[in-house]
Amino acid sequence: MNNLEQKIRKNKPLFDQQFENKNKSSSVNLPTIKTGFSDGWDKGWGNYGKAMAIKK
Amino acid sequence: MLPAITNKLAQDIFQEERDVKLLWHAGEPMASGLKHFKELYAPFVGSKYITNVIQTNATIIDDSWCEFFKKNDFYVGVSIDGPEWANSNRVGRKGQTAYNDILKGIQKLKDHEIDFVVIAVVDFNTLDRAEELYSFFCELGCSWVGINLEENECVNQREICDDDRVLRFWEELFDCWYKNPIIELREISSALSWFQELNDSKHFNIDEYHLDLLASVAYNGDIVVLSPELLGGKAPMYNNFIVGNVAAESIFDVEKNIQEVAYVKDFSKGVLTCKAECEYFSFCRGGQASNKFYETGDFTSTETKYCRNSKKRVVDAIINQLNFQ
Repeated sequence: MNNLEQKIRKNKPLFDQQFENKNKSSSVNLPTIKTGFSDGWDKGWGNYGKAMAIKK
Repeated sequence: MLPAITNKLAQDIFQEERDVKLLWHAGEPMASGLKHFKELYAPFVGSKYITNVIQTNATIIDDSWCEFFKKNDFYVGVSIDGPEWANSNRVGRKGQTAYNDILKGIQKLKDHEIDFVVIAVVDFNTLDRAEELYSFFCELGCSWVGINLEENECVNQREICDDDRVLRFWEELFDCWYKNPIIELREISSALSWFQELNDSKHFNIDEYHLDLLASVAYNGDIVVLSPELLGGKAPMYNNFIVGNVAAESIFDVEKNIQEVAYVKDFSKGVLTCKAECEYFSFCRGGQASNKFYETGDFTSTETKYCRNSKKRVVDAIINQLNFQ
């Protein structure tokens, strides 16, 4: 892992906390926290299938 | 485009028995008129292999188009850049603003209970107004927004070259989303997904990357790969990026030999250099072919303004706003 990736991993507890607290304080499910990289055309419809799947 | 092209394409897809996402876009696909569009679409009707999406500026959406979208399960994307002041570049043939017609088209979609997403172009005028932009899209009724920062590609020569302002834009946009996450933002979503992947994968492996060929078919059946923006581009050394023609061969046969195509080879070299040099590689996966070529004239190049504006600064903004140490 490079320095940037290590920095993100090192802050995992903070990351989890930021979104755990958010989920507790809001009735809205955070739509974007999901695994997997973008698929398809990044400038167009990448991730769209996943977005629709979650919505439905 | 003639129906003969889509007939042949459908024939090849059905023979291959592969799931295919058909994205009707580039220019304005609805400008063909519904009658002609139905003729183009006819060979795909009812196919279990096809998912249809259409990207449109929505200005001519009426009840007939909505009924067609619903009947055929089309996913609909609307091109709108924000509130009226952000849409000065979206004009009709006589130069009149298209904004009100776009809103009318969106209202038609809502009347027919058709979900829609948005792709928005952000230019210099919008960079300092992220909060207004986010509020607008929340009220518009879309479920998802993709943000394209204006870039120098083919016919468009304008671009954004201001790292600090771009970083502030993403920071402000992330804050707005974090406080009120009722719609999905493609760029934020992709970055957070990568964060989570990094955090949760015991054996994070970027070697799993596969080249996304993303074949685009022109009106005359010509095929280009890697980036739709290459379609119509001029590059004699690469045969203007054309790798085949639907009328003459199966698109899947073209795919089988794609690694021998000169510009695909060059792009792959560039991706490998990105992988060796760039800390953000496991997120962006080597960038976009069209940006490499139109910005540098060289597919083997690495960082582009697109990388900085739409990948790196997004990651940096989230790291800043989440107060990572």
